[in-house]
Amino acid sequence: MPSLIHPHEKDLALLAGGDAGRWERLLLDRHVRACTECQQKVAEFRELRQAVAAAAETPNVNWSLLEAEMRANIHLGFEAGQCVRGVRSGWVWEPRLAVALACLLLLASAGYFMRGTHIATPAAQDQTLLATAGASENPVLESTNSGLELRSGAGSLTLLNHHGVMARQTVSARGEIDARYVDGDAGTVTINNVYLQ
Amino acid sequence: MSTCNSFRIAASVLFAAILFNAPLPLAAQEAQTSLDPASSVKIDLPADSPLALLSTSMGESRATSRGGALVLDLHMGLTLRNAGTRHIRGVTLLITAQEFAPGGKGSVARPSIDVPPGQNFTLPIDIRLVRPVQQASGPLVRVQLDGVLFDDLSFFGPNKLNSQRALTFWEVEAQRDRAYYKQVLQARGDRGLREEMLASLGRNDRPQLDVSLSRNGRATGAAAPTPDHVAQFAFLSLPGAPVQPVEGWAAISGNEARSPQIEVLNQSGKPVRYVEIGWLVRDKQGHEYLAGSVPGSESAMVLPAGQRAHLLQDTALRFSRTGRPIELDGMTGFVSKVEFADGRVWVPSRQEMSSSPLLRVIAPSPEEQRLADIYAKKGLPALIAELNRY
Repeated sequence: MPSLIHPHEKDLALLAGGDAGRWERLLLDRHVRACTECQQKVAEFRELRQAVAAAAETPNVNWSLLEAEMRANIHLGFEAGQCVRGVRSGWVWEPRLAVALACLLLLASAGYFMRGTHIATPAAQDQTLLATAGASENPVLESTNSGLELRSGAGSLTLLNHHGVMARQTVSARGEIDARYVDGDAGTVTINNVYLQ
Repeated sequence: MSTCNSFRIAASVLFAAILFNAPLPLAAQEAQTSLDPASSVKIDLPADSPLALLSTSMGESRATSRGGALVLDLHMGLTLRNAGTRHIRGVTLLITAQEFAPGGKGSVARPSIDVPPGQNFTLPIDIRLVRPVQQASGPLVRVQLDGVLFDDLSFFGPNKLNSQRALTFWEVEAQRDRAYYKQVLQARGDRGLREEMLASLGRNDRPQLDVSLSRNGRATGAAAPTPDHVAQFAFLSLPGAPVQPVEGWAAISGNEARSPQIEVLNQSGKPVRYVEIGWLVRDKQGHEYLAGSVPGSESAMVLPAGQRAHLLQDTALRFSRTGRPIELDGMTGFVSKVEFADGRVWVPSRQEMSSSPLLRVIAPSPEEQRLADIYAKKGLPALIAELNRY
């Protein structure tokens, strides 16, 4: 007894074209044999398929010859391009390459010149200090937030503000700098002073 | 060369640049050394010193080797006793570290104190010393007494740093400021004293300049020489000053001032042996800062009454603020300190300071700083009690 539910038209189309699977074909054949409506649809799909096949027929084409011609044209294009490059010059302007190399050159140069200053570690500061101090034997006094520094040759002496407090600093053109601050513990004033000899 | 290859090369160069600039691991550069900071400090007090050293604490002092440098952090506390018979008003200790900084020295002073005989007090000394590791080791820091000032303004000590003069000026300023605030308290009461303290705290918070100073040439880090111009000093006249500035100038180049020279006239009736001119600088934006001072020569100068003299200093000062150089645009001078040949000293009175723009720009005296700190931390009653001690 055929199923009361008709198969989908897509399945009927596959059956008409012989593309349905084996198990599906058995089920569909069983239904179509008992169902005149579906028999008619399958017949229509077969007619349509034959019509399309007749319309799509193309004259005989030698595909191998066509492939060989296409390959030859591609090779010819490449060789022509090489000839043109050779005639223009040996240097090819590559904007992206130029920008990339310029940036890297800048980066490498900046890195080299900032080697001694960009590292915030005390060790690096000391190395820089030794290097700069060593370059000049003239003693130099300098006031900083942490205290007063006397640099001389390759060494230095820094009088630090106790507990890192902020100090008022004044300089004497005679060759002195002083830093005065109130000691938080004792409430007394301490004045550090560095002198050039 | 394809774009893909060029970017491969670029990436390689970038990687090499990063490796080239990368710092070595900190652990590889920094190492504790076996130096004992306590044995590195030598403290010398004269046998007849009115100060006795009771103890020395080394706190968190340490010696560290960092890369090619030896770093010695000394955090000392010297407990001293007044072994004399007079009240001590100020002390200065001389700090030398010839192996680290042969071209100079330091000092730590404690002004504005009142230490009766037999009483102890502690003086902190915080020092950082840096030198190459390969340098020969030896005594590192020497601490010596340079001077003690007593309540009668008499002095004891070798005075290598002219500590007598500095301590005396600080003490005279302290007496002036205490007298002024006591007078304010009497005339205007608690409210008046509070207003004065708030004004003082405001002055103490004024922005200040960082300075680099060297002798005989340009200050460190100065740019390549550019055409200097000679800038004239403008002078603030203080009617009560025994010495008046006549004219002065300094070579200016960007943020650097060099070789200031000021001619002064002794218009008092007494010979003068020391004059100091306060030095204000103005930047291109019109901000005025206390730059420092131009003192007279250290050599024995005696300026007779009615005579003129030149104050010359062959130093270069470079000014910056928060790490940025300031462009100097003008300079102002005023007489800030005078010492007569008989040892007596003159400083501007509070009235003279208030009636001129001086009070706006000059730094408060150490005593004013101390009194303002008492007010800020302990309140008005503690300040009044402190004023009444003297």
